[in-house]
Amino acid sequence: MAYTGIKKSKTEKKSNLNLKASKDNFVSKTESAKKLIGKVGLPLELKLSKQ
Amino acid sequence: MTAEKYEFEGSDSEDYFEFISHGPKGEITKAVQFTLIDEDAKLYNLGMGDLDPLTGNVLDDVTTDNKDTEKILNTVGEIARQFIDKKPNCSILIEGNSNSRNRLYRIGINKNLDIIAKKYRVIGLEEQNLKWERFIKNTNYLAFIISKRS
Repeated sequence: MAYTGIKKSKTEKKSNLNLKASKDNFVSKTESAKKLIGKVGLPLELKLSKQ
Repeated sequence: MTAEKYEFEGSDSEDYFEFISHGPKGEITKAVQFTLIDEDAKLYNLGMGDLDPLTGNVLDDVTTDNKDTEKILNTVGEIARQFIDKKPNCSILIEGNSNSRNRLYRIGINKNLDIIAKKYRVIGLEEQNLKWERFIKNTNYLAFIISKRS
């Protein structure tokens, strides 16, 4: 019984993590990061890896 | 000596993680998420914040001061290390939302630079000229990019 409880709780925790992972929880940070890259560009090392 | 870290759990997609900070302010759930911001360059933004216990939403502009900053930085560093190691050719952008937060990240990188630099490349966005450069100790940066060395 106790084992079932722990198992269920772990499953719930995982499903909660998966739910949170399905959306961007840091929308303003993501936008700020995109804006920063748009402004200063990528470092040369990343530009090269893009090619 | 191994750096002290919190245990953390991740989503199946391995881009969202949570751990619990313990300190004088109690137990605070911390959330870390990697969001793709440039598909071609495989550049991910690292977001970190506290989970609001009432709403379950992530708050990324709070200063908790739970007296465990180093342990939190070590934990986030370990999460980032695992993320980079599992995603070939990806890079992580770390941009603090304040000067003090960036200073904190810089101190964390400074402290572990010898270990980090063996496997990873660290680039900083220099504050004065807004130019990316190889990370130099005790230099002020607005943001950091970490990638695995090829």
